[in-house]
Amino acid sequence: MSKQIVIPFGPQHPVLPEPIHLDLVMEDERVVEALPSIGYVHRGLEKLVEKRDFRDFVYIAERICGICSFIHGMTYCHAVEGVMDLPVPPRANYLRTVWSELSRLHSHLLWLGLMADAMGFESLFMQSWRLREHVLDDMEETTGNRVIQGSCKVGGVRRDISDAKLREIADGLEELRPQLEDLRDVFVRDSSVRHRLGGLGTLTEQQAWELGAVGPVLRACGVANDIRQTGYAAYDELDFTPAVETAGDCWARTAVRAEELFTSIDLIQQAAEKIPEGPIEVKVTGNPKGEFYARSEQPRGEVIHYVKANGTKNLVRFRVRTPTFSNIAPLVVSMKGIELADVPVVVLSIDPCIGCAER
Amino acid sequence: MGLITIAKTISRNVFGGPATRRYPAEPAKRYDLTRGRLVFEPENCRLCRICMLRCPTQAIVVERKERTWEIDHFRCITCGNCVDLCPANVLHLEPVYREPEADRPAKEFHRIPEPPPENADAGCETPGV
Repeated sequence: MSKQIVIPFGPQHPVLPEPIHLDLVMEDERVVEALPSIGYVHRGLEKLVEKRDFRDFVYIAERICGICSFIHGMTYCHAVEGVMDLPVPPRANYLRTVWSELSRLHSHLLWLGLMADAMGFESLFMQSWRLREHVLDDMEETTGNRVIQGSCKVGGVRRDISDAKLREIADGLEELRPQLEDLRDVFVRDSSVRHRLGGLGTLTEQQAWELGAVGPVLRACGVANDIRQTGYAAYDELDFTPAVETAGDCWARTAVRAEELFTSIDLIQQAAEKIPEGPIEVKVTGNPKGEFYARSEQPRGEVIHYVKANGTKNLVRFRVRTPTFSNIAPLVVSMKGIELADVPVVVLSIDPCIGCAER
Repeated sequence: MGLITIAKTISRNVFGGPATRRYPAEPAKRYDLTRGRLVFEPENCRLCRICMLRCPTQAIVVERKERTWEIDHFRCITCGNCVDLCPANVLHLEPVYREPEADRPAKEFHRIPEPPPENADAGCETPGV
């Protein structure tokens, strides 16, 4: 056995958009063990719930993450609405679904670009981000902001989208579809991409399930687990099949995310056709009392928001389990045996969002 | 398949023009709903303090006795909560962003004018916060 050395990876590294630190125990060029440590961007947002009105905390819950912000805000609203037993109007549920899927589109396009950048495919990175701009424009036009949308509130949504505008968004995405298909084909079929990502950071179905992997990391191992199938918001009235791959490696994770772009477009188009008329919010009276556990599907996987309230305007407890946190254990296992030069690509393949994971 | 895809992408990039705007020669893209900056009109403010009490970042400070309204723009996240809640509609969001500032804190200070005598005691309550 050759001598083992420890190489620190992160918290500042060109491939990492956010800080995570890994101590890589190496034998020559091979990773024997990876020891993660987090805590560089902890902001104490969960504690802040004790100081803010539960209706205003949605703006803070949205800022848990700078990419999948809308779904954090929506899941928090689900949790509070669950405590208060508030009936959310169907139109608001459809609008939440549309914004969730737009968020997923922009998050996946962002990640595909970052992945292309991590494997040294600069022009593919630019192409992904160019297409992402169309989605961001749709979000800004309908909510007022590109990423932190601020359009969800307890009891419904703050803004309506006219039916004509919804059809325009659906048609715009249909026009985008051929370009996204070209992009997907490069990620899925291009021989240099397959060579770079195939067989890298492999997890078996059993490992992924036992280690608690969520989202595309789990679906890339052959488990068709998607929280959208539980039917929150308007998903129970829309038809979709989760994208699944079986290889369990970095390529499979990329393929799952590339395929999910089209699932999102289909869902938005279905929602634009089926959206009912009606109010977009219900009046919130009184304060919540009780506890609730809300789950939803982020671009990175399942997110859980737990809230506990005691009948005052401030919640007692707020707890978030984010998908990145769940995916760190599978990441560490999938890194065993890979080469040092592959570490950045494997770390990026779980779509790490450390801002979420540490809150 | 690879060559066709590359040829399509190259031709789109060569003949399709730039994907970005030539800002500042061309104006930046903005929409009616864009949350750019918060604008306050002190004339009709009732000093009800809802904006201060419901601001998620505690960026606004209202003093009833001194009749002042103050915002720290470095704390404000332009969520628009105060705009939705203001009963006198003296707050609104403009789609243009604030100019960059170097001085900290970037505070904006307003003195609320005294109301005419007949309205002196109207609207100074803080409704259902």
